[in-house]
Amino acid sequence: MLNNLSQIFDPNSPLLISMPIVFLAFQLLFLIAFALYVIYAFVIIRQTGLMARTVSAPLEKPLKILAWIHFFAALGIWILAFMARV
Amino acid sequence: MPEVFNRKQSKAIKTADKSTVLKSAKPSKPTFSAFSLLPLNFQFDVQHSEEQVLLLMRQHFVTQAGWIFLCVLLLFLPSIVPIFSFFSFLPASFLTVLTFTWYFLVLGYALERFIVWYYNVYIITNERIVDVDFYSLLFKRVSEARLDRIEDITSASGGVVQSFFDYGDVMIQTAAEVPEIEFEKVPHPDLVTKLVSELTETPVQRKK
Repeated sequence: MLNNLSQIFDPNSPLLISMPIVFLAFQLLFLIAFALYVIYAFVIIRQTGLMARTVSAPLEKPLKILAWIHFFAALGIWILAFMARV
Repeated sequence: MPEVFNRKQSKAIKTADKSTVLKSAKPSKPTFSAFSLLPLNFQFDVQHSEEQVLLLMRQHFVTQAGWIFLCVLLLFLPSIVPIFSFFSFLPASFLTVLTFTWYFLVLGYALERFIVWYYNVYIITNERIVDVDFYSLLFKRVSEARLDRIEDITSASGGVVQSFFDYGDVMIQTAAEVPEIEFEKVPHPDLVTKLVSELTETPVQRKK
């Protein structure tokens, strides 16, 4: 991917590191942080199920569906971030 | 199942006759309600077969105004303040992801807060009082006390907002394992106190 050091360091860049590398680092950090959120979104699904078992109320089903939508949306954003190119 | 439900409901109405608070109450659906007398389609996992839910409470809707206002503000913030323009040095695809993430996190936060509010319930049945607490999505505590073990009831309501919207705390001292059960920020604390008092005067014993 990177053939030589000139692709990493750029004396004209304000950070002295070429901007594509900065963006790549930014993307990597975002992917790691958002992966944790995707896990949390899955925990919400489990917890909603547990709460519904404890208390059975009229909005039980819509909330379960919302929790699944939330999880898939989180997964979608993670994939979108993974596919993003400079 | 409907027969069981009807039997339960008729028993609840029989109990209701003994209470002045429940006498004029009609069974209601507790979909978004924070104060539901004789709630329909509601059960909890430790409920006995002959036990009837007389009152279901959540924290008053006004107490949730803070996070609702915050979410609305955060949703409209990008159209008021151009916050994404600070990231204009990012490539277009990165900006798209950032924008999606902003709205998604705000809606995710709202969902989490709503779920915690919705499942944090206080229940009064013809046998006992139950307090189901979900401190966050990960921590849960269920406290209960039989009506015949209730010793003292105190309701507290103070401040302009609580007086105006008629909500407050109800503290119930018990002789059970949990010495005090607290219903926090519930609507009509005086009615709750009255109902518990009436029920403890004539507790309905579960037939074994």
